[in-house]
Amino acid sequence: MISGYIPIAVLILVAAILGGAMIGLSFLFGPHKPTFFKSTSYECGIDPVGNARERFPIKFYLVAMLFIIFDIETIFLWPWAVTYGSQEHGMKVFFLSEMAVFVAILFIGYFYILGKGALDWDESDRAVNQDSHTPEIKAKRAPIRFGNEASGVVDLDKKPVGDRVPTYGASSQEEVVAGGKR
Amino acid sequence: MITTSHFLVLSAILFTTGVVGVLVKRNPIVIFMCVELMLNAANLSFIALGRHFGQVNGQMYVIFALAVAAAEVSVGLGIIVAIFRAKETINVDEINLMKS
Amino acid sequence: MVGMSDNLAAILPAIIVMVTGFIVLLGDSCLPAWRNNGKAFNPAVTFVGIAVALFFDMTRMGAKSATAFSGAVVDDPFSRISILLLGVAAILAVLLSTTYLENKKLHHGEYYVLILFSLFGAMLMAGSNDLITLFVSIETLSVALYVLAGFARTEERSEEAALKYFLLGAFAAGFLLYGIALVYGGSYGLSHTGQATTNLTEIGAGLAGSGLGGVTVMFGIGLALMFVGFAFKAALVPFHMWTPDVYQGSPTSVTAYMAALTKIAIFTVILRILSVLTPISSVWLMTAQLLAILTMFGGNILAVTQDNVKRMLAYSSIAHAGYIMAGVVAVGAAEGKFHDLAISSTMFYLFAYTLMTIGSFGVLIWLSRRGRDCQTLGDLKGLVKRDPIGAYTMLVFMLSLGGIPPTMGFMGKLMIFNVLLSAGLTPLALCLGFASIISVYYYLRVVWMMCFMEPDRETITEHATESGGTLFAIGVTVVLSLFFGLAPYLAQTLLAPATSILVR
Repeated sequence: MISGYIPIAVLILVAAILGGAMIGLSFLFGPHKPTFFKSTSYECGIDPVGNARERFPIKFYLVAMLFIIFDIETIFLWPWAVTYGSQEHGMKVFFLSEMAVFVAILFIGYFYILGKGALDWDESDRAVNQDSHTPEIKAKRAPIRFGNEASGVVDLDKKPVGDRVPTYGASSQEEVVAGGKR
Repeated sequence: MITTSHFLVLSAILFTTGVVGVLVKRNPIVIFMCVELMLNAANLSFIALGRHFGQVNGQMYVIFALAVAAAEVSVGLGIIVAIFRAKETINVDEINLMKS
Repeated sequence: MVGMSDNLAAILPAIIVMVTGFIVLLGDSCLPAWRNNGKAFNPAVTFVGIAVALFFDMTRMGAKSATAFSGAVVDDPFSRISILLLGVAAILAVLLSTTYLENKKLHHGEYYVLILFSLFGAMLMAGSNDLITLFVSIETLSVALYVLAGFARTEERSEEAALKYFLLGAFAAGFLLYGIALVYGGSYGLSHTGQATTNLTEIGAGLAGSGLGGVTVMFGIGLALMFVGFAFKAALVPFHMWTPDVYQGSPTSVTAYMAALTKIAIFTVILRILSVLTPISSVWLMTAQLLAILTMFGGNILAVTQDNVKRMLAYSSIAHAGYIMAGVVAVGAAEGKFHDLAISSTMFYLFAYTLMTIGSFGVLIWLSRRGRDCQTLGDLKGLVKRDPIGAYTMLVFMLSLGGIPPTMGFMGKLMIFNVLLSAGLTPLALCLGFASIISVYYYLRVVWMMCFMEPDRETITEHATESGGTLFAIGVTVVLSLFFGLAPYLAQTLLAPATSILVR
């Protein structure tokens, strides 16, 4: 059985050696004279700006956590659904009520995160009474902006860089770089 | 021919890898990934054993273990985010305010 | 479905606690009227919920033992007593929490929800008769406690405690689950039905039939890994390293709660599982003794040098876990009448430990009511002049923890000492005595600081907030510690039903 795979293995080996040799030899013996223009990216989009390891808003983590929880719960639905069809009538009622309890508990969690505002992506008009959202604190805090309304307009001369309000999302790159670090 | 013992050996290797990883690594997220490896090694054992004995129990247990692991992931990520906000680092060597 | 009501009745206290948790969760997040009065509503509803659960638990105290949910859950006097202790611990913790949380500006409804959910997990642990039920309930308890440990979101120490607790707790969970998987595989040859199982009753029956001969390598390794997991959760030396940091960093009310709750729950589980393993006690008895001795001495010796009272109490809780473990060893080694005596003594010590721990952390909470956390020995200097109530109650708890009459701690130690002697474990009994002598040093150092030192600074700024709940909880623990210290056999009679562990 294994012997049938030997030609394929040989082919892979030969291909790897050949490809490796062509690139490796030209790298070894070829001339290296990098100039500025040779090193720029050529017809491959724009130059990268800033660090790729950008911090992104905490909200994504929140959504990820909520997703994990509710995602995993669905695996309980699967075996239930498989066995449900083969039950007799009396058991079906029992099965259904069991699943109703399960889903009800899930909904309690759902209503909790809804009530806490964890799913409000735009939290600027959130007025639930949490400590950080009292009117006084809200008045002091600059509104968080989400991208497009400020794109391109970099008013660096108005404020020192350190005090600038961080903006999240796909606004201009410079702004994120300037204000990203607290 | 792959027998149940192959699965068990694999799961033992995975478990050991996880334990070593927890002891060696310094980033809590990586440590937690190693813990997940340990849990999943156990899950693999459960499935292999359940299949070997012809019982459905093994697979059932895995579902419970997965749900528990998911809850742990959420809480763990939350704690890591919270500690990063407080300390600006998550390296476990630098998280040592309390020493006897 | 016929029989479903019986099933639900078996875990009724746990269900009540869980539903109370849901009510508080929804009320606090979705009802504005509730949220605005959360400071009163949340603790009140939590208190009532736990009280109702305890009421139903006590009405069932005399009922027949039974298994439920196809043997996954057991409802026997042992679990009922354990649930009673857990509920008492939770009620005391809720009473202690309210003012402390207000002072620290941590008054969120989630605190009580998490207390209820962790209590739910602990109650289910007490009644679990299947290793998977056990795993899920242990994790329910632990995950809620991870969050509680990090509840002071802005304090670095609290977050650090949560991270450490979480990482090591998850590590322990890995060991536990892998151990359960191996036990599941190894149980195949044991039972008469010829089926692999995680059910404790079936494993017990199989072991009773086969004896040591039926124990495969897989089964043995599985058991060992499971007990590594348990030892982590119970903070036995050498698996204790997370305890001091977590106890010190967490908010004090959380520390009080988790120190009591986890110990009660995990030792209930250990007792139940070891009673299943009685037929092969020759294998694990030696290891358990070693663990007990290491834990007693390790905890006590490390506690001697501590200047932070919370940290010292953490090490002392490790040492007390060692004493309880000694009681567990006695349960495994003793036979006949002494076996029952050993169980009731261990339960008595668990009860004493609950009261002492919650009480001593409660005094720290009481002293923190001026807004500054009272943690170090320096904060306690000259306490007897500044705050006589705090000083005298702390004195009682220190005496009790050190095992000095006429307190409950003394009686508990005496009982465990006696059952160890009657079980023929004289070396272990002597170790217990020596370890207690070491511990007296650091407990009395606290007393010395309180009574004979002058206060450092102008710490007598009198704007203490009213803290009726805290005072009430401390009062209850003091009175009970002294009362059961003087009338120990009353408590032992009350706890006597615990000796009938169904699985045996």
